[in-house]
Amino acid sequence: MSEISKDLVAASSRMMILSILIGGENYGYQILQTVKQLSEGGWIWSDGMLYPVLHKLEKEKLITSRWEEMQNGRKRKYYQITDKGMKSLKKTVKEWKFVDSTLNKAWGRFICPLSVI
Amino acid sequence: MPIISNLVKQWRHWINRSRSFEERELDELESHLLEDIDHLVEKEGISEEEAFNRAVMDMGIRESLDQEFTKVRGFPVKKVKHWFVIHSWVIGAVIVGLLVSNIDFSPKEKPLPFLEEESIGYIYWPNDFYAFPKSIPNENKTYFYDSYHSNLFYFKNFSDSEDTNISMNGSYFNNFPQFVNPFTFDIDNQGKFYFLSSKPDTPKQNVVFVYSDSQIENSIMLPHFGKTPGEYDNINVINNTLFLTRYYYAYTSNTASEPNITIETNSGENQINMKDAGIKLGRNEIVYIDLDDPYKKVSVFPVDKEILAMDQSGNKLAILTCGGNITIYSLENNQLIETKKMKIENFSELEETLPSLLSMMYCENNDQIVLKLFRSQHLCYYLQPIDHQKLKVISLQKTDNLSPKFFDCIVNVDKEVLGVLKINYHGRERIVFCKKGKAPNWANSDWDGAYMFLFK
Repeated sequence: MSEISKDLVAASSRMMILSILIGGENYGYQILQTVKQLSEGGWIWSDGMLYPVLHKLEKEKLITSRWEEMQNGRKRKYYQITDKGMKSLKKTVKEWKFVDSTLNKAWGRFICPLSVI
Repeated sequence: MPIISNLVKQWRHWINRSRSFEERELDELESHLLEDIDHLVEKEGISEEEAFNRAVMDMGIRESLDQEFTKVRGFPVKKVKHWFVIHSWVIGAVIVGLLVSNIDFSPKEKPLPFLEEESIGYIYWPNDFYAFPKSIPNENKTYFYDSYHSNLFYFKNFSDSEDTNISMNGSYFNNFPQFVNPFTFDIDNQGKFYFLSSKPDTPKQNVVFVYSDSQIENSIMLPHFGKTPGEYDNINVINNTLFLTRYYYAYTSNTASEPNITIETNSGENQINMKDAGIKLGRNEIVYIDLDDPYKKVSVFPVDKEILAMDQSGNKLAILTCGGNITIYSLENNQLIETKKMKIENFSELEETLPSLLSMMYCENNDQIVLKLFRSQHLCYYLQPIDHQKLKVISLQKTDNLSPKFFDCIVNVDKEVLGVLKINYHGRERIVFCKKGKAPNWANSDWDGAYMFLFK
């Protein structure tokens, strides 16, 4: 998969973060690594841009955070998904699945063969 | 590690210049930066300093971060907090005003104010090159010197014909068999090439090889400067006058140990005038030599401060000195006459990124200027004139996956990442911005095809 458009990244970034946090609490750098790994490098995101999204989610109480001191004396901020975040994610996943299935139907019907896409 | 700690500390200061980040936000960004540095050092085996450079670029453009954090928070905290205490009543009045008004504060897409799109062809670039490109007036070719492979490439630029394709037409010189270590080159207004080199048997002897129509025309011995040509950072030739310059390595650690260059007396009949002997070429001086009589007509032109970078366009020299002043000189009757002086408004910001060496691309048309920092090949600034005396540093770019080596430099203007080079376009020298585009027939690089933008 080549590079995903900025608009699509912006639209799905919240869901991406919440989805990763379902797997357990995580910190910014690791979240980004997971995104890069999952998207095989197609998800182009300036590292620093992750944090405003995290802070927005925190402000909306969809996630919480805590600082932890590491063995080397450095600090790391961990994020966890909240119940509210889980509910929000479930709702969004439903919506995206609906969009996905609708688009698939449209592509199957109007674009033949599908492989040209 | 102390070096990295120091760099990170400076980065923290730099990124918060506009004082719109909270301490805890900076803590988190710093924590991320350090994680990235560790990761890069461990996984890619690069040096800590290189990892720092990469991590800073990974982090993103400062202005964009600033904007995004502020958007989430609603306002730049520190500034507003302070301001709020003093002017809370004003804020109240403004809020009331906003409530009753209907002002749209949503962000708007900004056009590129100084660019005019002209989709005038695709481009293909030679591989690595180190010098800024040079072009010949009235000949639609632009030349790149690849000092790594000692090759000079050219590609054909646009012509008035319908053929708008430009492509690399090949090597002008391959491996320079007749030269020893050609260090740098220039092309004068008549289209002659000047290669600064050294004489094979006496490496300290400076020689300028002059080429015209791919044929060697002349080799000119220069006064014995006591150092190899590699000691010079730049040569420029205007109207048969050769300018030699050293730059001020302001940001490298060995600044203090670098010796001055001494013009030594030359033995034999070409002996230089004794009064000229022993001239020290400081970093705030330019030596210029009349190539018709290189041993007698040697002059030293003092500049007010140490020179950071220099480029020529037409019969003008643009010189950037410490502190961020760019002075334009024209060469008239073998004398340099100051024609314009411009100040880079936010130059201290540029200095904070700790460049080791600057290189400058100057285009006489509208005084367009681009600066490149050699600390990392990827750092580049575009200077936009604010008025006739001021220039503003536009941006620090981020070049992930953009193959910046294909361009002379990359700038970021209003969120658009653009490749930059100087070309000759319809007989006029221009700085051209190339936008990432869709070129159907070029594989392997997103940048192999690009649309070009010219200045209005």
